[in-house]
Amino acid sequence: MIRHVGGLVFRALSTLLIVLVIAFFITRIAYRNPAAMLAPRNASQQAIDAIAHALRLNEPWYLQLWYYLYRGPDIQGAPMGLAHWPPGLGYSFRKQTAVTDLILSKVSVTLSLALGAVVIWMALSIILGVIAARRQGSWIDSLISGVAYVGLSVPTFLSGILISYFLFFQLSNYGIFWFPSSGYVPLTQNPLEWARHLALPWLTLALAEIGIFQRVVRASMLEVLSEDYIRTARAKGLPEWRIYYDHALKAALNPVITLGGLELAVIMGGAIVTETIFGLDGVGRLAINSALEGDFPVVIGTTIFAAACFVLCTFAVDIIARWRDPSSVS
Amino acid sequence: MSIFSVADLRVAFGSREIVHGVSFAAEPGKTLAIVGESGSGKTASLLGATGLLPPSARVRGSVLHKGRELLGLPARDLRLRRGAEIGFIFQDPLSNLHPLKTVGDQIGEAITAHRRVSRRELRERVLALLADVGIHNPLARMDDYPRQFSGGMRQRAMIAAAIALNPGVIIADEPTTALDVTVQAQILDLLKRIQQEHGTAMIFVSHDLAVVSDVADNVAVMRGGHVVEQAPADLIYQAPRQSYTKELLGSARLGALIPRAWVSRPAPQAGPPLLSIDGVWRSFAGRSRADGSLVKPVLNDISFDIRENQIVGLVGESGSGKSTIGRLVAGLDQPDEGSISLRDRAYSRPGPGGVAIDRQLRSQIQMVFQDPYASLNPRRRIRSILAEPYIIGTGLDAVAIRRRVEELVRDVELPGDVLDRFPAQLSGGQRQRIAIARAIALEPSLIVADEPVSALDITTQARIIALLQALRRRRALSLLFISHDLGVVSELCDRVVVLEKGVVVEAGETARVFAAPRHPYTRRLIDAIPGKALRRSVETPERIAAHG
Repeated sequence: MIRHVGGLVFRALSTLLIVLVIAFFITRIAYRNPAAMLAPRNASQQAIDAIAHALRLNEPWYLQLWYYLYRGPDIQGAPMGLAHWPPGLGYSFRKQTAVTDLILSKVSVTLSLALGAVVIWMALSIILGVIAARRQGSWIDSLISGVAYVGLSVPTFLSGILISYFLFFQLSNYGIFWFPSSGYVPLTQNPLEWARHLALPWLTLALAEIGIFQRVVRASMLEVLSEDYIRTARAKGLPEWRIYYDHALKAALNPVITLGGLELAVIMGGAIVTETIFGLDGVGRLAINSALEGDFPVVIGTTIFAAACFVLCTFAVDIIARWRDPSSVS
Repeated sequence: MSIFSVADLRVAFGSREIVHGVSFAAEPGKTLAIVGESGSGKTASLLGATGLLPPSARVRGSVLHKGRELLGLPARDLRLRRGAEIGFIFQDPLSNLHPLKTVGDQIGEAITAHRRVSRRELRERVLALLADVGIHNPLARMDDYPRQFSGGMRQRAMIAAAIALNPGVIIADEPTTALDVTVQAQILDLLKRIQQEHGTAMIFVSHDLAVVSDVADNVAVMRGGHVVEQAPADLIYQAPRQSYTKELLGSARLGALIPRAWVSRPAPQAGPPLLSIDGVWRSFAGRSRADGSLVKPVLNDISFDIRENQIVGLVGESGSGKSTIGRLVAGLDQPDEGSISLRDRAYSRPGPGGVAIDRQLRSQIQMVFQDPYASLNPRRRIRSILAEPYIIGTGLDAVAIRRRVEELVRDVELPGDVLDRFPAQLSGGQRQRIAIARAIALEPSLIVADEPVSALDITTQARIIALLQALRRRRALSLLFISHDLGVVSELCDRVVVLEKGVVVEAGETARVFAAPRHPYTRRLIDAIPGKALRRSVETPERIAAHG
């Protein structure tokens, strides 16, 4: 097990390093003249050259990469590269802050959004999926599938705006202020307000995911329900609810967990549309803004962050699989 | 007085009726065996009678359990009887146990489904049950998952769940079919003991009359959804009225009786040595259960020969290393030590670059696998499956290949129209014939058949064995026949090699090995062959005289 974890960690770190190098090259290709983008609008050529020189943009690529990886830019005499403690991912040109600090300041918003959404969508998908599988072919099954299909087809920017319109704007017209339209309150400050502020974004994300996951749960349940061990459970005289929610669901969750890990990683890496609609200052918005502004240390940083989310979620899925089926380890 | 009886039971899926009005009854303390080939409706009638078929099935007729009609009973009332008063044991204990639940949990469930018991009491009862069905060290094993159990232990666990609440009726559907002979004998003994202790009525479903003869008091023979013959067991063996029952008895004799091996057969004309296995060792990485070391020895110093035109049977229980030898011979794996050679050409040896098998040599050794469902590509027609070896191995043109393929199908005694079908449209026996046809296509020097009949019905087994014998008469056939079934081996093979835990414990002429086994393990295997009662009742005076 320890060797296994060691191998996983090594693989995770090398994956991240590869992502970092690729992200570095992509930003160099994407931003032909970063110095000009960074300079004030009416800056002289000398000023632009000076910026390029200061950022060592004139050096050959391998020196730039080495410099980025090893030392990072000196900010007020403090190196901010990966080889220093605490390791940094460079310095934002626009925000005048360390990239690591910048991302960390937004992580709580994004994590709250992603983790809350995953709980809601998993719970609802499982309940709806099991009901649909149990009543396969009935009107309930058709209704759930229909609703799920709509949820899946409507893009987030539309469903987010609709949810905001009905659950915030229309309600507030009647003097009901259940949900605020935007903003974020940290969990540590006020858990109730935290949930109240995030309820609509959670709903928006969950709606789209339920469309996928309800169908996965249903299909997986139907497959498992035809297994011999389900018949054995019936032969023991177990009540139907135990057959569905204990026996069948337990086995049917395999694809749901795998896919869930991937989807969660995508949202953790930045739910750009949802964050924008509900005015949440998360990693997604940071990524898109810095990409538009040519702030490439932040672009690389948010890319690494998204990759790390994937690695983490895959790791979690692996651990859960081992915990669910210890006999597979040998 | 019967405790569980079925009268004029009909089971239909849509407009297709698969059980056409069957009647039978089980009495306390007695075993009713229902015998028939797969598809004869034996399982469908029992599942239908107890409400275990999917809702799309329509079940009519009458099912009386303790005087109560079960058909038409509310689902809840039926459920309360299942498990508590009617216990079930199914065929394949691996697919019938939940892979993600511990064995102890799955036995405990049979209790908690019907009774409220404290956690501690439940644990104690599960431990007692595990001990009762003969699981050693139940305290350590109850938290294991089914995959960590051997086949026999899984079946014991399933029996433990079935008897947890001491039901008056036990329905056992092919409970030993997936098991080794020795394990089968143990499981049958266990079932008999449980029945005697509790006076349980048992309904025992099987395709194998030999196995049935070891347990049954009454036998019902099913075919095509009808009960064609029903009588006390002895009567069935001695005076079968239906020709179908006689055919079943004939096939059962193959598994149960070993008369022909006892009467010395004309010695087959074995030619010069073909394959020789010389001091082969093989081990795999993985924890050994015995001493916890990291290398699991599988084969220890294996040596034997196969001559031209000789059929050699390799027998042993699962885990004895039979299939590993098969894989080594076929060049799919290489030994750690020792060598394997075909006509004095060593092609499998240890070390880097181990398998020195080339395409020419590979076409000289062909395999037939156990499961004809899994070994044929489901998306290809039989014609293309059979043409493939010719396309790869010969330079024949399309017309010639077509003619060869048609010959091949005739050779394995199949009608020509199977060529345009897909594997799923053929029966298990037909599929295995195709697998054999594919193997003999290029007229290889040697065929390795790994349990080629174990997945088949007993009547189909008899037909495949007959086919192999006929093929052998028609063309020279050298065969390494791997099987756990000694009856089949005694019928077909010239020589037998007995393998126990990776060691050859006995080898010799089939007749000699079966008549006078030298090693205790061989004796144990022979004793475990089912069908003692059948042997007693069929053994006619002439035959005993013939044994001298």
